[in-house]
Amino acid sequence: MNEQLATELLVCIMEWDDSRVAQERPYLEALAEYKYNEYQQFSPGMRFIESLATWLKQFGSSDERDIAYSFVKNRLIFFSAAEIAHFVSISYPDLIRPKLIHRAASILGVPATDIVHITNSQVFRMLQRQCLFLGLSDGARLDVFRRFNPQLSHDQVYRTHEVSEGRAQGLQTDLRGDLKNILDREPKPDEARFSTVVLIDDFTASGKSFLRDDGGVKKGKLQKWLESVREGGDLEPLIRADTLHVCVLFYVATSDAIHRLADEFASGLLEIFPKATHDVIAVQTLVDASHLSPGGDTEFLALVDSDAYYSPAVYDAHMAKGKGDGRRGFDEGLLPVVLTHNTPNNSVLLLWANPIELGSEVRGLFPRVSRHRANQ
Amino acid sequence: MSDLRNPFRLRAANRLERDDTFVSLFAPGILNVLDKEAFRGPPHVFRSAPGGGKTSLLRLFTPAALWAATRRKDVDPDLYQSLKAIGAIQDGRPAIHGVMLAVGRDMATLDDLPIERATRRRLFLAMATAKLVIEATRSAASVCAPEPVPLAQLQCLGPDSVSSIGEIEFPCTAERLFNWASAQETAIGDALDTYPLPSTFPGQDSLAIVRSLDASRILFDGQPVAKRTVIMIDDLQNLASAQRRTLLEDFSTARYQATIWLTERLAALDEQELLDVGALPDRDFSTVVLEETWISKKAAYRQALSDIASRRTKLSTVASIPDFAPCLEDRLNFRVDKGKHRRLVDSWTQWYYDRLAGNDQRAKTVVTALLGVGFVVDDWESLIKLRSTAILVERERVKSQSTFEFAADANIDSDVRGAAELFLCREAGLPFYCGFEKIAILSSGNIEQFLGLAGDMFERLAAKVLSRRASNLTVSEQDSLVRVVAARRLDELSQYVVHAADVKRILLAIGRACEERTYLPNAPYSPGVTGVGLRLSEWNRLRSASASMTETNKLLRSVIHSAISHNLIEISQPQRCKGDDWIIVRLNRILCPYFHLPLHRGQWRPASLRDLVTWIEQGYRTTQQQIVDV
Repeated sequence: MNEQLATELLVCIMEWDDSRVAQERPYLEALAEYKYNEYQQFSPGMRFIESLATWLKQFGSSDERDIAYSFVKNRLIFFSAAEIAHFVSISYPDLIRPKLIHRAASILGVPATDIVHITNSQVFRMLQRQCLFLGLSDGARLDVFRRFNPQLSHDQVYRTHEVSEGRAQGLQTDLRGDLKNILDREPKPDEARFSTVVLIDDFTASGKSFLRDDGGVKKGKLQKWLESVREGGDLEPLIRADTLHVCVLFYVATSDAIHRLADEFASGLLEIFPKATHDVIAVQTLVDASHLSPGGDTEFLALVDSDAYYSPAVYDAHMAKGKGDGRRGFDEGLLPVVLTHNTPNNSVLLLWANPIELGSEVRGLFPRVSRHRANQ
Repeated sequence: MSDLRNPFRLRAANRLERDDTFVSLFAPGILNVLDKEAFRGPPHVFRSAPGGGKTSLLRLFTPAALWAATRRKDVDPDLYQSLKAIGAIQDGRPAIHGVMLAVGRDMATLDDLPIERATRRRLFLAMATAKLVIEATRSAASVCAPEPVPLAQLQCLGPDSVSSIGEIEFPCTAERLFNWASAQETAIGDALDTYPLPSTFPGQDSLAIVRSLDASRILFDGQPVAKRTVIMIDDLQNLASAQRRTLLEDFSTARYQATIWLTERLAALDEQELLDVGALPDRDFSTVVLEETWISKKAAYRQALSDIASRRTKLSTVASIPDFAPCLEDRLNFRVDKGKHRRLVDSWTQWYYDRLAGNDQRAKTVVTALLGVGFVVDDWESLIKLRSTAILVERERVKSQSTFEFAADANIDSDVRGAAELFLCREAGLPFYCGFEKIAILSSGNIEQFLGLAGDMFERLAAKVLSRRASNLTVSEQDSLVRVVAARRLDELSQYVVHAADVKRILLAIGRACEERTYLPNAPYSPGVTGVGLRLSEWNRLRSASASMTETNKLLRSVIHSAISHNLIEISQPQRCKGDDWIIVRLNRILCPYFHLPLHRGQWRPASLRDLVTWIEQGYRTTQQQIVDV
């Protein structure tokens, strides 16, 4: 839809007077231009202002529309492609490399602040090469990660955590070759193993996709990875058990998910590698205040909880794995978050409801394409 | 270029990357600021407050912009013809080899080096030479053809009768010259990056190499690359004071064949220079203060602004606004503008008639006669006449022998009319600051100021169009917006002005002083007072910094310097009045609405240095307040 027409439609729906239009238009068009127009799941020809107008139109009164608009202005969190790329670019230098520096400092017996000495040392270069980066999904953007970090070898960055036996052998062979150059000798068998594994993904809100208890059975991507490094697993020969450190890295994660995963991953990991250390970190943490709350977002939550803006079709087998009926998002995530490529279902339904998928009239501002769609 | 929400917010010539966009927004009327000697004669120094249009003016004469204007000759014939008329384009191609060097803040850091002053000077000249040669060779390659030609194909002959300058032997290729300059710049950078600093630095005693940069001395295919070279150095205010003096000295004494244009903000001038009104003109430079030039060329300025507005409006995403100026309503139409204004005028008219007529029988007779002679209460002209007559009645009252002998239908003096309109609008709450003419005046000769005000208006206009309520801005809406902008300008001083609190106090004081005199019931200074006058002798005391100057006067000097350099006040040339010479200090027009002042540059009231100091220290006190104090 033509931009001018979309704005006229919005003005008509919101019943704004001239001074209000003059006040809101610069803000809306700036944000649309800066971020919101790049949302990848808009239908062809659709852009943010039109989507906003159509979204607001579904509310029954001008008061409700004002509440919804205020939510968009004040509470919506949209991670643009540029912002995610920035997280990717800083994840290694700002979060992982300092850990390697600290470890090297400890081995060398020097202060961790002696950066130049440490990073020029053989110990650091070895530790850096003995670091394996695995993607937990396409969202890890390891293609971009690799380009932002030319100091890392291509052979230590792999797009998936599900590594075949043949590929695992290839990774180890490459590691051995690079270590030989660093050490100027053949590396010992223990040295030709990865002492740090970084498992990377873009987003988690509940952590349940990564680790959960499903009727007494542990499931999730992290569980799959743990299976692969058990004795007999494809990745087991690559891991240096006596000095292993596993880092689960998200570009964006809620603090709840980080704490939960840190606790639950520990037991599984220590069972396999009793001497291993681990942490779960995020480049950008969504603290508790990011979530919508009954105290601070009463009016908008009333809309979220209203049956008028709910479709029972959202409650499918996947949604059933979490708390609630989906109107507050998967597992009642109560998030106001949108990612440029899709809206997570942990966000409130009013943000991501897709009328085509749900077969309903409820409409999200940033409609989501579901991975968990029922076979058609 | 993609459509813009509000094209008036697009600022700063140096941020518009595409030359086609830049040229499409450039109004040819701006070229009126160039005098006949612009391409000949002494070096020109263009000065203005920020946003005056200096950089845009220079950029127009760069090869890329001239080629863009040539490409667009069918789309924008006005600009093309204007450039042809001044000789910037000839035979369908650029005739000027424009070399534009924007001075960054990095140059000033050379002056901080802990080395001897003479070495610093030589180092600065070496850096300036290198940068100029790099720009000149690049622009020479760009001016001779629509696409830049390889530097190796340009032949540099060097200055007349000079076979070499330093390491450069002439003739040589432009590539050789470029490489030499790049190496010099790199050498300087390397020296500065060395710790500790080396004992010697690259250095030059002058900008002699500029002589080799004239268009007639650079050939492409055996022909000069252009008819003339214009060396344009932008933002001299970014240089250290000593560097600026060095550059100005060199350009004033060297008499280069190339045209030299320099730009700087008024803030670059020290207090002595900035307050130097009425001094003999500098014969080594031709100084052009852009705001002053536009104030003296009102019609051309207004036309240029209208053109700027039209060009920008075309880029808007709101297609239903074809042009800007026609969308500004110019007259209060009582028959259309019902409600608030009509009720105000009705109640005011009755009030004034009762007030005036009740006190004096003779006055009542005059007013009654006036009201009886074809008076139409909702007609603007009738109201002006009523209010003008009221002023004349007041004037009669204060005479020792008043006669009230003026006919109700006599022609009213234009100054009295002006005062009447002002009084009427203020008393009845009617809009005064409206219409494109007044918006142009409110910009005070500064293009960015115009864009700011027009941008706010355009935002409101677009909002109305998108709401499908109307396609114009009413006089009331314009007036409200202007007053908001005026108030905001005062509120935001602390963000960009040195001595902000004192500057604000003096502006408020000048404004209140003018307001008090303007609104005397008999309007003795019709149409109104818009400035204060200082005796030239007092001004000169302020201008010349002497050891015996008091602290308060030193502060006053700094405050005035700050106010002038940010275009908050205008200073006139000396004017003769009542046997004495006066310097008139006027507010930037955009501040006048804050005090309900007219926009002309007419009447002023005298003030002294002591008054100004008192205003800074204590603020302005009205005559009534002073009487109460006594």
